[in-house]
Amino acid sequence: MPEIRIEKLRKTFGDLVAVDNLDLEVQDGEYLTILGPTGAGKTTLLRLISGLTKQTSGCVYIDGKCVDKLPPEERRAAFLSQTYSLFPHMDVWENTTFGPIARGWESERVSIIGREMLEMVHLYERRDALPHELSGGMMQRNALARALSADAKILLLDEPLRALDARLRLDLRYELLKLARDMKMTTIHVTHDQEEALTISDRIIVLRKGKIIQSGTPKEIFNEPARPFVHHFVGEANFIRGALVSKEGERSKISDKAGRNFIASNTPLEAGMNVVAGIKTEFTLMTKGKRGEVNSFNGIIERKLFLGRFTDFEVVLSEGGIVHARLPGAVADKFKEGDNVFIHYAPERLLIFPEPEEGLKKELEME
Amino acid sequence: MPAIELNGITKRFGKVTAAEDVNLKIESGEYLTILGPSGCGKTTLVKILAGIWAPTEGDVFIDGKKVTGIPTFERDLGYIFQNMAIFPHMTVWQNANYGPKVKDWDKKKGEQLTTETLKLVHLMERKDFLPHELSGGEKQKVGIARALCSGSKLLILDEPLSALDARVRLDLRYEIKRLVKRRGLTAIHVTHDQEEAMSISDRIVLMRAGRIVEINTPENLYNHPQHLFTANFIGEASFIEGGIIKNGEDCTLEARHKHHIKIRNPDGCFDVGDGVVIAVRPENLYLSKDKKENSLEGRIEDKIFMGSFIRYRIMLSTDDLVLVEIPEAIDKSFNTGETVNVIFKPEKLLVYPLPREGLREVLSLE
Repeated sequence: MPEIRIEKLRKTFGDLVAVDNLDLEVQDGEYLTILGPTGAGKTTLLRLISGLTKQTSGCVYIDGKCVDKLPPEERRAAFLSQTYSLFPHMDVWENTTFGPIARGWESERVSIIGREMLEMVHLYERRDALPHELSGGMMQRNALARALSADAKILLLDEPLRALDARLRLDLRYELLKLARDMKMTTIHVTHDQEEALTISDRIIVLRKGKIIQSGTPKEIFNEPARPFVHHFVGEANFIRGALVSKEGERSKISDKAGRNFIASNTPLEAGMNVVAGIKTEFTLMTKGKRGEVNSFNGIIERKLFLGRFTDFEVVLSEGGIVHARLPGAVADKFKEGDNVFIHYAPERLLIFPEPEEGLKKELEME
Repeated sequence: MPAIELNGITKRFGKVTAAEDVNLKIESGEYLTILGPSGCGKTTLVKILAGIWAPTEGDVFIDGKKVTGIPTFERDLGYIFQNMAIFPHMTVWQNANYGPKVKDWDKKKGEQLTTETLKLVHLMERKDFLPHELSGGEKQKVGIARALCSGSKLLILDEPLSALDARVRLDLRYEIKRLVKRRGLTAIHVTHDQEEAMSISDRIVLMRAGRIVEINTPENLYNHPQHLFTANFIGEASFIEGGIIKNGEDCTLEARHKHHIKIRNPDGCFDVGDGVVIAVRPENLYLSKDKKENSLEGRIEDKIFMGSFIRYRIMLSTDDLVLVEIPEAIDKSFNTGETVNVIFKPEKLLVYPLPREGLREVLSLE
């Protein structure tokens, strides 16, 4: 039985549709990430599930029961916001046991749950510290312990790592996932960070303008994006605009306005249609010499940007146009700015989409 | 194009020392980033440089002139921070052109500069928009454009991208760098984001607890970090502690449970009996089903899809957890729970003396 089910959920603020007739099922114990740009409706969706915001129409079911009439505290869903909102005058222990005490639990039970939660987040030793004496990571763990001590079955995380340093985030996102798994919680995690989403999720839903535009495992979202937007938002992609000329077996042929031909992956679209084709920069190959006749283009390296594990290259093609390639460190060392190079697209990595109705530029907008 | 020198800068707030004896020279036309975890003193340092705070000790020189004590508005610098306040009732154009206008520059010259700057940040098409009609990233760009139109040759950027979405940040950081280089400005950029720092800087100053840990180019900091903290903070790394049991050509370290790893000891800096720590990047470890030369057994704890590569978390027979990243194209697809051999290539291992205060303390990010 699905833990959470959402049916035709809709929320408007005046003329603005924040969540647009949304259907969603979250399985028991699943770690689901809601990924999308600012203003996509991610936080609103989370607040509707928690009961902190009331929907305009539609229903939220938890364990098969409609929870519309239930206040937030009776939905057994712990909500953790980006700012943690710990009580500043209470120590770690008091913050953690606030919920159970307010619920009138007997003191023995309060002590057991408080200790259990704080040991889990490695804060039991610091139970006498006040929030301002804690580091950012510790405050986050304290807030998590508080959220969990309320006997929740569902964990709703609204950008839980946003307030932390970039490097610390890398370590803590894994800890968060491990905690949720150990406690067998059903988790919905909201983020705008595509790398975070890829690394922690059982499943990702990509939200844009209040609608789900794709749902799938991290691998599916990365390798089989439903739309150019997803292709470019999760990872980064180069795009070609052209017409689908012909189809042959597993391959398709595309011709762009300049008359260049490309061999791309299989597509259910009809020959003759206007299409866009895109390839991830991580799968865009770069070599010094020419390699074959298919999908091979000459250019000059305009920019080289070192990123550590990867290096990003910007290549200006001799026939016009700019292509980005992301190469692993060991390979990247062989190239420098000004080098004459060849760019290659593996046909199976060049994915075809129908031409977006509002144009490619609008489709790819992140804000 | 100003050159800057910080000479013995110390700043104390009561008992807290935010910066301690910091010495730093910034070349004219350089893009320098000050990087470090929260509370490392990076913002304190640029505030002293800008004249917003006075140092407790030490002096600031701009172009060889001592400016300690001179107020901010006389230092001729542009200051960009996280949420740039722009005038809500003024259009993009009016906001950007504010500096030239109030400074009563030649109208034509001012307008030329503003046009050029707005083109550089790709906002010329939106020059008649009001701030509330813009996205967060665009608003921040207007703020940056306004700072650039002030005509200052020195630009201070204090976490200019932190309030923006991850994906928007990527695009904007390249634009800022391009702009600074094209204008020939000297830029000092403060951030806690190591990837941002690597992608934009000529040099990075890595700080921790009020002190400079290391200054170098992004490539050198990533590939040849001089300190353990750097190896962990810039990029990720796994660490294995051990003692040297054999020296010379076959320099060997003994890790926990008597497992051996061959390392390099090119300058003979280590002697038999020395305690050392190996640091290794996830992309510099390799996996094999069978035992290979210089490999150790481990159990796959977790397997994570990361796009073009797969990340494994592996518990070694030495009880050390290591991260291993394999490009997806050549990944043999090992499964969680499986036993594999992790191959160590001596030339890819960074080796450091075992720190006296303990490894955990040295690596701590907070």
